[in-house]
Amino acid sequence: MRIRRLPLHRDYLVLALVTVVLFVAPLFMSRFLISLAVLVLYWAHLGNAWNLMAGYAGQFSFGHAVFYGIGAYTSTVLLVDYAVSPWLGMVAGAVLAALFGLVMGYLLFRFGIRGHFFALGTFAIAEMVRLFATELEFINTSVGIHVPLVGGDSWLRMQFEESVINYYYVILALFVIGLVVVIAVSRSRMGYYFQAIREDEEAAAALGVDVLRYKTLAVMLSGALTAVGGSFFAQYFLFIDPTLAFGVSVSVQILLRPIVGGVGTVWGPLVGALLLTPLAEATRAFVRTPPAFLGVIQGRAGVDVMIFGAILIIVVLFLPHGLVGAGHSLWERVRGAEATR
Amino acid sequence: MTPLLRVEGVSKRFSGLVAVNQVSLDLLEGEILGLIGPNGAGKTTLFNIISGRLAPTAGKVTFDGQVITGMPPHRVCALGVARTFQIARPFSGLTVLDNVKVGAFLRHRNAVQAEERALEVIEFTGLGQSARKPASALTAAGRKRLELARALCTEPRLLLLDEVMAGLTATESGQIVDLIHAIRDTGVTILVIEHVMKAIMRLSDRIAVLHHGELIAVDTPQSVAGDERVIEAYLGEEYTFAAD
Repeated sequence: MRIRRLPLHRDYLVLALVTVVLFVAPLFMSRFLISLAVLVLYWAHLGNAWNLMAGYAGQFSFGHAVFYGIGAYTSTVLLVDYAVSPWLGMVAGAVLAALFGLVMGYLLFRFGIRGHFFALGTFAIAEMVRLFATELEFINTSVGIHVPLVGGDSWLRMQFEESVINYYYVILALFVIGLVVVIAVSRSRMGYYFQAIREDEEAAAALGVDVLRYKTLAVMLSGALTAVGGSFFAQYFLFIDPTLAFGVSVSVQILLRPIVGGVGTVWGPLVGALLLTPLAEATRAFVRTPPAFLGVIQGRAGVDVMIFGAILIIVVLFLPHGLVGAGHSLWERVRGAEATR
Repeated sequence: MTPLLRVEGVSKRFSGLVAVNQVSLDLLEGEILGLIGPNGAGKTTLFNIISGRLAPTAGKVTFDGQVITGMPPHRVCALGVARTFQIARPFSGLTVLDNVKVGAFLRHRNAVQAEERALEVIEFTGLGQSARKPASALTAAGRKRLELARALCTEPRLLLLDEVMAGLTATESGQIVDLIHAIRDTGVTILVIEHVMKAIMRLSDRIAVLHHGELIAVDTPQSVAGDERVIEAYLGEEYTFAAD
């Protein structure tokens, strides 16, 4: 086997191509398809953010909802109570999430919490914050916050009642920025240090890597990108409450797509989102109006989650590096076969 | 001439067991010092103390005039002390080049420069043919070379080598001995733990012998080979000191 190292800029070239295609694509899509594409890019962005920390730095998070919720609530509270544009709110949310990641990462790593225990720790912290949020008066406790409708389309308020296509371009921009960050990091010293830490912390430290510092940086960066996704969701859905923002299902949904697509690969989260998001929507539609012989499942929530669970088990068992990893091995095998011919 | 590394009265106790007992040792700039001793003599423990992985129970380690006892491993490495591990610890998911690049990033922030430096070191350590292969595909000898290459890429002044020849054939260890000499010729001071006697006699300028955590001899290879306490410490083991 031979792993060919990619030329320096190939991922950027592919990204440029993908961006052009995605930029033009909605011109040929129905309103329904565009709203589906918004969800695909939204999940791909969250997957990118999670992948940076879990895939590259190897710090598996089961509580990414905490960053997501911080982003959603920061921009929403700033907008509703202080009339601050969600664009600024998004940045503020990212900064707050990074600061939260600094404290959380430092505390967990400083006391040597690793592997499964780290994942459980992130889960516990997200749950604590969720419970805290349900009691917090200034974010309207468990009742949640509505983003008031301004009517029509407003770029300043990131609210588009008429044309969903504007949401599409917003999330496309966020997705592209997030992916540029991932690609840039993966090729930099930081990215190499992240991967060294993932492979063997002690060997990394022996090569001069400040393991505590780089692990904490991974959490901060990933948290900030995740918060941006949370702010977008609040503006798209126009309502948040503690469960929507900090709930366990958010944490689970965020990690599903990159795992299926390929953990620690640049394109895994997008591939996972392209596969799973339409599948989820199709399943929901199917459950709403099932054929007669499947009448029992009519209106049952959670069938999509069951299907996700089954896919996840299959992927973890048979494709440990996800679809992108499997595709890569297959490609290498074909190339290898050609080379020996 | 002040020594590059000074170990003074270093002891390490693990709940009742004294792994290293009152060891004092000086390393001169540019020398190769062999550290030998039966299994469990405390060699690796001493390495771990110098490299910052363990804090000693007592004593002090000074590198280039600076006390490094209790410093975390990454800071010791940044000061110029690199180590290899007894059991090679490659980053298996990365290519050989990327493994070495991790080390190169310590002195070169820029990715292109780090890659250039890594490629130089890969050539120097004889891994040129394997640069783009995954580290997991290397042979035992290849892994040992990779350990060396990664450590070397951090541009150390002192290199700690923990059994880089264990498990290799005579030819392979002969090549590693040549490589270590070549590294020393670039101005790196080397402290090497080794079980392969023939190799360490050929390799070292001086040899230090640890036994039950205590340093029982530090001298030239010839003198150590004839030292009665050393022979006694090894009695019943298959090592022979006869230089061939």
